[in-house]
Amino acid sequence: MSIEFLFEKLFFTKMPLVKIKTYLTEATEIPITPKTVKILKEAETSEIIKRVGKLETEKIEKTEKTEKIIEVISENIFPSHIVKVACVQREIRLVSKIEEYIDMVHNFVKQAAQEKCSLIIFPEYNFFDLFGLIPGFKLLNTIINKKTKNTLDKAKYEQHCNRSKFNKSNKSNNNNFLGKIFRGIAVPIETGVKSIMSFLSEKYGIYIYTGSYILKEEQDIYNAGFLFDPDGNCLGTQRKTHIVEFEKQTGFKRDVKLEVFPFNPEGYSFSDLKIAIPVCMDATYFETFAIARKMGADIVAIPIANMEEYGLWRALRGIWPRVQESYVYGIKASLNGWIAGMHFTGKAGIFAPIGITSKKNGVIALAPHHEGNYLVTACLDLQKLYEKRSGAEYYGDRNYEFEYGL
Amino acid sequence: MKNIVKVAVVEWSKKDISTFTQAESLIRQMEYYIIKASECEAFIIVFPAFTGCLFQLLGASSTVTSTSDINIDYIEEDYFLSQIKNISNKYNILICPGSYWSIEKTHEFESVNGNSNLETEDSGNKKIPPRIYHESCIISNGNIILNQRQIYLARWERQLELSRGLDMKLVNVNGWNIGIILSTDALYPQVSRRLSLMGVDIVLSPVGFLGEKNIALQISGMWQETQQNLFFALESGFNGHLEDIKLWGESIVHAPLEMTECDNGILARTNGKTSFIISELDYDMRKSAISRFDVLSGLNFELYNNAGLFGGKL
Repeated sequence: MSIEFLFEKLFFTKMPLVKIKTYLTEATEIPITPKTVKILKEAETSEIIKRVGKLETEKIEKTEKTEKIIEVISENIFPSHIVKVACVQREIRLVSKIEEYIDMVHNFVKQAAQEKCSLIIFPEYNFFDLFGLIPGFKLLNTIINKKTKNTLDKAKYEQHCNRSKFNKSNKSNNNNFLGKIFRGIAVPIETGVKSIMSFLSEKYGIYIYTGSYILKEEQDIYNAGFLFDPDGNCLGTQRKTHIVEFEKQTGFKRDVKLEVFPFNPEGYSFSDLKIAIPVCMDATYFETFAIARKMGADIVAIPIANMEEYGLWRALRGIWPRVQESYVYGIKASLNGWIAGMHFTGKAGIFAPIGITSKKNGVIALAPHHEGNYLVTACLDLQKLYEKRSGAEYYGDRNYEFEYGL
Repeated sequence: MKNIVKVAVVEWSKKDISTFTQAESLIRQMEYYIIKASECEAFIIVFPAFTGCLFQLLGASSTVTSTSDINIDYIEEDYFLSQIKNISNKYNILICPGSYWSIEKTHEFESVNGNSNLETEDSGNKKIPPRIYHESCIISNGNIILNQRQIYLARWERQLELSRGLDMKLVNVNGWNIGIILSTDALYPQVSRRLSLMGVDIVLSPVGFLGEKNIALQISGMWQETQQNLFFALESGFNGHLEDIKLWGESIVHAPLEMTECDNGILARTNGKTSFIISELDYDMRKSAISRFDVLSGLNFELYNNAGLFGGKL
């Protein structure tokens, strides 16, 4: 019996669909408590209300059941050209049972819905926590992480002494091990995650991008994510189109097609808003965003899990410049923490062309630290985007003879 | 091939620009920096964008009151270039004299449908002004060894009805492939990618951006182009007015992030404190940096072709 098959069987056992659905139903049916009302009020009185000046506390106070809360949550309080979105920054935390994972996802979705967001984006490799379901993995993980951290410290010292010697020392050589696990867990995790996300998107009436998971198609594996609409329907899948060395070594394939998805939240005035959601390294290539824009996307979201030590300049190599050159809104969700000797860092954030942002720096909202758990939210003004784009000084020129060699 | 070369980059400050009351004073200051760079044994010196344009305007200043009034008879680029060629003969250094407005003489007359270029008004065709390009070049030993027209235009350049260049070229000097990405083109990533795929090692990038200074805009240009293409880039900024047009830009020497001391992709910059910077470009260190973050090896041409991006030309 192969390792892949063993892992597949293990994960189907550890996360059965019936168990997931039952737990989700219970977890989202909790009656409202005074504490919940307080949380809702706090959320209401935050920046959202300052922006639009419309507080509907009466409805909240009268609400007694979760369904009612959701009704309030889903009501659009923004002008119809503004849509509020959220992205997740979270730390990997190995779980002992599937319920812990559901709680983690549920809490982020609930918070985003409470803050009246129409969309929430989860990060790349949004399933590493589930490795905790593998018997003995937590212990193994602790040992590998400790060993790698020591190696990294030594490498940093060497780097300090002689920069040219520095290499990718924190990128471990555990790719074969991970590759086997990935192939085994792909199908049960995809099935379980789709079930969770579909349920939550419908329950809270919110678009959910699942973050990326392993998509297994015949013998090929992809790094891919799924987008669910507020009715719980899966709108589609986007596979990663530019893969990193680690993924090549692990046996991932890259896609040769970019998708754009309809994003039409209720009460929103533009009926043909489109979003593209390529994955992590895709944002290092201007071509990805150029294609997304060519296909009509005004928002591009990027789930990331950056396997490197954090640095502002390193972070600037991704979505931020892409947003500037393609004149779209950008949303970045980020995974951080340690697993199997790999260290992930990165800040979640929401970006816009420089001319749109109040500080003229292209940043609308950013997590305060590159590690830890945060939900970053912001309002996107599409009307403003269109106006600024049409008058932009350094955007929109075409040179067909150069581009097509006519 | 010399694996480590020194390069020099100049920045014009507002104060510098205000002191250039005559075209000759600008040339004198350029020669001053060329001498300085030669003494440092620099391989290349780059001057800011619009340096030649300033020369052209200063030369024509007696008859021109604003950019919109430019009379092309007074702004032939040849005179500016001849001055630089003369200086070039005296020093063993490659000179990128910034940029100038280049007049395409073969298009002096053109029929309405654009087919002929020697028609006159008498034949019933409309007389149209010659095409003017924003152009830069590299001069060595009194000769132009590469010239490059700007491929894309900013809004203000479109309003001036400038024309767009159509192709990109490289020149190999001492084993280094050198190309030019001029000002606005730094903000159009397909330009950098094209040059990168042609095998450029060093990009010379004279720049001058319209409006209030905002370093975030500049970083979104040549800095990030360097990171996604992994070449060296010498960005040279113009700060001041070109008649009624306010321009700014910092001079920065860019390199792949992995090889820079502060992990920031910058080898040297003026930071508004100096008008002249010298830096070393190390070919082997760049090669090593590329091996650690090899972006170009991950290009997905099948994806771009499927999407019809730029006609699959990239």
